[in-house]
This record gives sequence, C-alpha cells and structure tokens, in this order.
Amino acid sequence: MDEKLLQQNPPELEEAAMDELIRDWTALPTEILSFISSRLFLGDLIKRFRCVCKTWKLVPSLPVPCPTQCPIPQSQWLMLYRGLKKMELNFFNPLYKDTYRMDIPELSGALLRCSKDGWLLMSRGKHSVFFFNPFTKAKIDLPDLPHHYNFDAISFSCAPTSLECMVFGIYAFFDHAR
Amino acid sequence: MASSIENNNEKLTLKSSDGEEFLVEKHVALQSTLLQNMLDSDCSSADVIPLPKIDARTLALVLGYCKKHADASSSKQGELNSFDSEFLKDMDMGALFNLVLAANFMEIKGLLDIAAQKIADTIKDKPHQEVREIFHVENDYTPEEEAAVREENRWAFEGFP
Repeated sequence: MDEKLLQQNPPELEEAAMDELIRDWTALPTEILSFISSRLFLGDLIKRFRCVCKTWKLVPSLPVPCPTQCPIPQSQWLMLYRGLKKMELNFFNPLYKDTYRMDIPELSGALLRCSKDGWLLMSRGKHSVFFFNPFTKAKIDLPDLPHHYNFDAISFSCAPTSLECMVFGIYAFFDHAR
Repeated sequence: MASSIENNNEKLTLKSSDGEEFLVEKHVALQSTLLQNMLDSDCSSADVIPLPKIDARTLALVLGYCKKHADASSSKQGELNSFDSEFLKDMDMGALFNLVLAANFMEIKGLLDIAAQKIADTIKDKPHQEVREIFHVENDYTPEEEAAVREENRWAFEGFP
C-alpha cells in the first residue's frame, strides 16, 4: 500500500503539491480577494468565484471596481432589455465579444426608462417608479406619484445610492421639464 | 549624520525574507508607495530595508517590474502595456500568489492591478470545480450548503451560460 502510494507520488511531485498547499488562496488578505473578485463579472463571479468555497463567497465586492490599468472599465457593457413578457437582460461586451443573459422575474411587467452606473430606472403601472440593480438585486422604490403620470422620458443624474442623485421626468408634449 | 537619501541617484538596499540583498535606485523604489512613505518619513536611514514577507525570487520580479515602469517615459504607454502582458504570461500560480501578496504589501498599484487581473482571467469561463483544482482550494461546502448557494443564485445559474 505504502509502496503504491510512493509510486504514485514521486518526491518531486509531492514537493510541488506541498508547495502549492502552503499557498492558501483562501487566506489571502480580503482586500486582495476583493480586488480579484471585482474583476469578475456576472456569471464568472456568481457561478464560479463564489461557489468555490465559503471564504470566497463572503468576499465583499469593491464598491467602485474601476482598475486604472484595465483596458476597458467593466461598466462598459452594452445592455439590451427585452421587457414585459420575457424579463431578460442581455449584456454584450463589444471588445471581448462576450455575452451574458440574465433573467429577472422581479422586473416582470416593468418598463425600462433609463440605465446608469449599473442601475436601472424602471416604471410599472401608472404610479410606480423604482430603481433596480440587476447585480445585487437591490430595489429602491421612489415615492408613488400622486397623480397619473405620463412622462415621455424619465432619467436620473447618478447612482441612487448617492446623495446627489436626482430623478427627473420630461413631458415632451408640454415642452417643459419637471 | 547625513541622511542616506540625498539625491536621485542614491541607491537603497532591500533585503528579502531569505536574506538576499538587492541594490535599487531610488527612483525605481519610488514605484512602491510603502517605500516612498518610508523615504518621506525618513525611516530609511537604516542601510538595509528588510522586507521580511517577500522572498528573493519574488522581489527580483517585483523590482524588474518597478525598473521598467520607472525608466519608461509616459509616452511609451503602449510599450509598458505589452511589457505588462508579457511579464505575467507564463507565470505559474505559485509565483503569481507571491507576487500579488508582494504588490499588496509594497503598495505597487499597477502591479497589483495586473496580477489581480491575471488571477481573475484564470477563473473566467471555468466550472467552479476546476477553479478549485487550479487554486488548490478545498470545497468546504456541505452538499446541502452548496445546493443552497446555487438556489440563492438560481437566477444566475439559469440566466447565464
């Protein structure tokens, strides 16, 4: 038995394996793991990185994953929304020709009005407007509009997590902004 | 007693964890925020700066990177980019592990960026079981827990290729 084991693991291989074992990728400082995970997007992050082990699952994502040396910021993906019935977001990276599809039942029946900084501004029905982050699934409801609204366009200035965030709707018909 | 740092041509001596000494030009050392802070606060009057967490092989790699970036003028960004991609191209996972730790410890932002990107690229498009093998990470999920993680992220598993 012992002899067999020895044959299977020649000393140099065993040494290499031991050498690798000392390098515990789960014991890296959290900031490094965060740094790595912030370079992964969607499926790679959720299906791969976080499923590897418990430590990696708990690695917090960096709030602003914008590496200076990265040739393209991760935010530069083209998002296509096929609304109403399918609730399907498609992401396309023109440089890597990489495509992801995400099905989001939470957005059922909602209309996409604007998108910025990873957030979607959606409206549903006559009174409800809300922000939705498809990556974290965070939802921020805006106060219901008191009256039936009929904005031709709704937009926002920056991520709704920022104090600076302003939402504005435009009535094209009356030719003024509110 | 004169400060050991008097002009730009002055050199520093860095000592690796395994005792090897490296003579480094000051402008090269300044690529590291850690060393820069040490120089600024004049903690560097010691003749030798020990880096007890970084072995000689890794330190040689780090200093090679720093020298290239310190010597290149900003107009040669394209050249630096190709140097960066060649630099990590055939690096084994063990060396990469040491390198990312060293870059983090010495606070060399550019090197940390490219090392983290290289590690992330290794994970991309591979099943998580394979990622575990590459990184020698033991699966500490029970089958139930793993199923729960999948369930929690079912939208991603169903939604993404």
